[in-house]
Amino acid sequence: MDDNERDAIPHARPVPRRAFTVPLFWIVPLVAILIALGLVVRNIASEGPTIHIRFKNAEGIEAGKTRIKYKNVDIGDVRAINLSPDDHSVIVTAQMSRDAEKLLVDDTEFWVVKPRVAGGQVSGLGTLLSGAFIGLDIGKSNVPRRNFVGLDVPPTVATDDPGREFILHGADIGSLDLGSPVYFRRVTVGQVTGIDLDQNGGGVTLRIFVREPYTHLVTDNSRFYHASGLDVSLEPSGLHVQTQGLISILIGAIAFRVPPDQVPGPPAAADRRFTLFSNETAALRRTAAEGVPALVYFGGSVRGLAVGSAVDFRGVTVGEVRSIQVHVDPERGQARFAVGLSLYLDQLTPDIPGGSEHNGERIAFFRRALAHGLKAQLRTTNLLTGQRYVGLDFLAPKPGATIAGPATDGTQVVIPSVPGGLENLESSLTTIAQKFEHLPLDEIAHDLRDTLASLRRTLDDADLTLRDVHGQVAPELVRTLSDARRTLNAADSILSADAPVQQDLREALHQLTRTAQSLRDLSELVSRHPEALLRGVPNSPVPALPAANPAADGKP
Amino acid sequence: MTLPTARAHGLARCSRCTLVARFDPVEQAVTCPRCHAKLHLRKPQSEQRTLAYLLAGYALYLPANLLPIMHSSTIVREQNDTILSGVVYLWSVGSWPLAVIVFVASIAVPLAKLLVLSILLVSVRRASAGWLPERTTMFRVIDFIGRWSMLDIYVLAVLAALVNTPGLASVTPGPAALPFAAVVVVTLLAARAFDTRLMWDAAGESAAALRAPSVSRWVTLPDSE
Repeated sequence: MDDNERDAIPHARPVPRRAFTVPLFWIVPLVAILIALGLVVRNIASEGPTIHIRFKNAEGIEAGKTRIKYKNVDIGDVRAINLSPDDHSVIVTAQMSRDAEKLLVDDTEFWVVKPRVAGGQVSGLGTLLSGAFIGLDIGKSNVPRRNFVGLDVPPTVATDDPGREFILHGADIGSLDLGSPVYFRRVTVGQVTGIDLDQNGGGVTLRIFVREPYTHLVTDNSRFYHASGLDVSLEPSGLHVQTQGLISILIGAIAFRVPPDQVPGPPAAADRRFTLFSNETAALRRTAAEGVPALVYFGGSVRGLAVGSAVDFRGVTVGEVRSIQVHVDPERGQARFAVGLSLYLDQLTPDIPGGSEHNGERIAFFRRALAHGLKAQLRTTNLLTGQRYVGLDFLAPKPGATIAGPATDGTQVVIPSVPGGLENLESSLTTIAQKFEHLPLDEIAHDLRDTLASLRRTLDDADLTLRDVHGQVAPELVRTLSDARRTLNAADSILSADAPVQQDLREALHQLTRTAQSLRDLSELVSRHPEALLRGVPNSPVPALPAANPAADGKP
Repeated sequence: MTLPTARAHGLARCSRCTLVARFDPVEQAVTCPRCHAKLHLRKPQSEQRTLAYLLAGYALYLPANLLPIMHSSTIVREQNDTILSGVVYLWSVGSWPLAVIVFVASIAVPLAKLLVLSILLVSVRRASAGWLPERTTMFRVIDFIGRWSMLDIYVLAVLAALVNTPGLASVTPGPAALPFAAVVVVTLLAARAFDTRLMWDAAGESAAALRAPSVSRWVTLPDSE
């Protein structure tokens, strides 16, 4: 390159330099570092606490895949699954997200969500494809917790569901299961949430959850009962089959109601305890507190009488049997039964209201009734099953039969008892049987046999006699009879209309009639003309005579 | 007189209109006499810019590889995949060529770019004179393959668009997608900001220290005019 060529090259144009230039490109690494830091920080910050959940087994759970979800929102995932130190369970280690921290409190519950059929509902179908996940229900506590024990079955009611829990105590759970419905007028208003056997095994305690807006239907005087199966009863009006619906037959259910003769009380507080009755009838039976206690002593067997048997007054149930106690008297070799009754006074008289302040009046009422012969009697409801009930009635006192215990005192009504219908029958039969026993049946039989033998002899004699009669008497009889027939025939011919005797007789009678006619004419003539007797009949005919004679008148 | 570089002759080419102009380094800033674009002997602030982009690249490389880049959910399961877990998955299911491609394109290349540019930058700083042609080739290679790192992003974009049947299967970009794309872009920027001539300049200076002509002399040469 020579200088000429170089001179041909134009000079660059100088421009004033800017006083200060900001190196804007440095913003790029700043922003990049900020983004990177932000991402890392966010990732670290979203890493919540690590928790451990103990499960019976790890069915369906996979490390790194299984999620922990609350209301189907991912709040963590399972990082590791290990056996517990004692090898009896598995410990699932899960990494929770930051915002899940407040969910991890003392009474938070975890369970594995998988397809399940419970309480008549199918749940967790979505997990068939997606695989199981771990569900949780937040607790109400404020105490944080990191180690949990997983539930075997999911809770049927979430903590934040509005409603109220109640406790039922019953003899058994029937066919109930977790999630079984609770019915009110056959509307599902809640669910069974917990089933526990009592410590001493004396019953079961159930927790039920009644949802809003139905909680006010559970009142203090509500009665809970199993609505699980069929309730078949034979009543005077026919066969009654009662059920709460097909579902309840299959999976069991609880129903509740207020007894029909009561008004609903105030709504029950949460966790109130109720008794779970075995069926509606048992549930609606009055409680002991509602009746007046009374006592009856029975002498005979009380087979067929049970606690709960009815007390009946002329067909109206006025109470029930509360207790049956045996009092054996070894000195006299006797026993009697003290049957405790609970009488519903409002069924017997409308005058005395309920309430303990009227106890005196009740006792006085019974005293008066007892004075007028109120008695208790054991009667049979059903001859087939032998069920019995206690009947009350005003019965005429039967001396000796009445069994009265200690007299009615200030607190207890004691009703004397008389033997019941069946008892009477029984005693009569016993008496008859005893009499039968005293009959000399052997002698009677012996005599009877003798008698029969002589009767046979007599009959044999009679047979011989009859044979004689047949041989001798009969031919004579036949002859006599033919003679008699001949005689009768003769009589017949004599008496016939064309017989000479008959004709003679008729002629004679004719003559006699004419004679009588003549005699009458004569007597009339004499009575009119008495002088004719003396002077004879006048020659000139008496004009008055033929006119006066109707007989002459009749003849032309 | 050493190698006749444009700079040694006090000449600069306008990057816009290709006019060669005589460069007067005394004046702090000059423009092209024809198109008035700014004239530079070398890419301005090349070392600083490259360093800045490299730092950004390094900062973004970590989240890009540690965070999940793809969130795939099917009715069977939901999954978050990082790039590396994707490679491992591909390898484990037997499609190892694909695994190699993804590994090279998404992990090796961005890292290689960052490392190579860092080495080049350090060599400029240290005025290293060794392996100059090789280093230049290295730069050309990474400049060429740099854009192929976007492969992952393309695949992700296509997947997200194609696999989108709500309820059955869907693919959505994970939190690493943005940093990963940023890494690629930033390394491209870094490569663009880097001026390979600086390596030769630096080598020339150190060489000048050994040999007679110093670069500073060539720089001051136009002054003598």
